[in-house]
Amino acid sequence: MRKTPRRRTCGTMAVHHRLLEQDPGFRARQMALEHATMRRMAAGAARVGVTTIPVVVHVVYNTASENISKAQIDSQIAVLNRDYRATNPDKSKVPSVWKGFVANVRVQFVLATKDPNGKPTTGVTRTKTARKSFSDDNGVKFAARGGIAGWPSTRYLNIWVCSLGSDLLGYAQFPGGPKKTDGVVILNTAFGTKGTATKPFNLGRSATHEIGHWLNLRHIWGDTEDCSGSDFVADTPNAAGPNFGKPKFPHVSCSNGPNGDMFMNYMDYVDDDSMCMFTTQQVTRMQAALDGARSQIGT
Amino acid sequence: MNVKDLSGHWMHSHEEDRDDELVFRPASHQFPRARGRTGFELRPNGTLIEHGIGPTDQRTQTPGRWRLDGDTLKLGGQTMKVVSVAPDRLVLRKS
Ligand SMILES: [Zn+2]
Repeated sequence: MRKTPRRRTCGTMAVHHRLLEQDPGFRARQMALEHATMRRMAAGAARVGVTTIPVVVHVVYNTASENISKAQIDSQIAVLNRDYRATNPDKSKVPSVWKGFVANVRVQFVLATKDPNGKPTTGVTRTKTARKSFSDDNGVKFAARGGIAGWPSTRYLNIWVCSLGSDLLGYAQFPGGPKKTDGVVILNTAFGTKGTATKPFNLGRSATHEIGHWLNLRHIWGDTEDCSGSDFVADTPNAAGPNFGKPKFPHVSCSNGPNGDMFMNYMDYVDDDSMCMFTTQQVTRMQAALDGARSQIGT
Repeated sequence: MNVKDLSGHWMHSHEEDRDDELVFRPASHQFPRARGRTGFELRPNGTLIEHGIGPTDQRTQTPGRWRLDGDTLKLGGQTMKVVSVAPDRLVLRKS
């Protein structure tokens, strides 16, 4: 169990260097959101049943193979709808000590059927770009930088799918950030389970992970290189740093034996076939985001 | 070993780690794709850029200082032992 998160809140916020530079109000809003999150987590979720979130997938391609198929996109939506309802069959891999922690997020995702103007849509946009690949600087979200603008983030979850530089499978934005960059970006070869999806990131878990951030989840290791960080979630063991590849249970760090790191959590850094769960408290935190900064989205 | 041997842009080849030994390769190395990869640029003048993973997976760069005392490497706030260094491979041990 973690030390009380309240003390760590402000220090951890300091890591949003880029947003802080571009948007001086971000830090204050983020701290206010964290305090509101704690109140909402204590109060319990206001949304009942399953929340349905309209999704728009923006495919930004340079080569024909990067213009991924509708089948590949559908395979990603199917993964999200298993992972966010805890109906993924591989949750059987969760060690017995944590089986009782596996939780249903009560969120489902559908490709949008109406565009921002109310016209029928497939929920997919396709944009040819001159750029061979994008970085983590949000460029893919702006037409002037070779990408495409998102749809209104109060109504849609924007997912940009493109080529990214090495050692980047995707990135996200927490609730409460700038509207124009709200959403997640996923590497095209780490998107879905078909077409160009490539091992070991071919089971759609990069999007599961990034949408976890979009719903305000932190990394399981608390974003520090030692044991001082927290993910503000009480039922995930404190861990020293990210786990990679396909770890063997148990992997002990931060005096968290005998069970060790919960590396099979979607918010660690393991391969797609090694992550398979959110916890009850992570779900409480995501539902708090849906009741708070993301209260306008979904039905 | 000296400051010149260690100077350069090293990225963590975490796939090659064994127990408490951490393996680093030059940034130009052909790494397999990973969800993230950390590293550091050690400059001969004692300044340092740490390459980290941000809380929403965007990369971070944090300036700092480094120092070598014998085989003890002080890297920002961390202290490590240099196990071996070659142009294509640096091995550190947490201490
Ligand atoms: Zn992440």
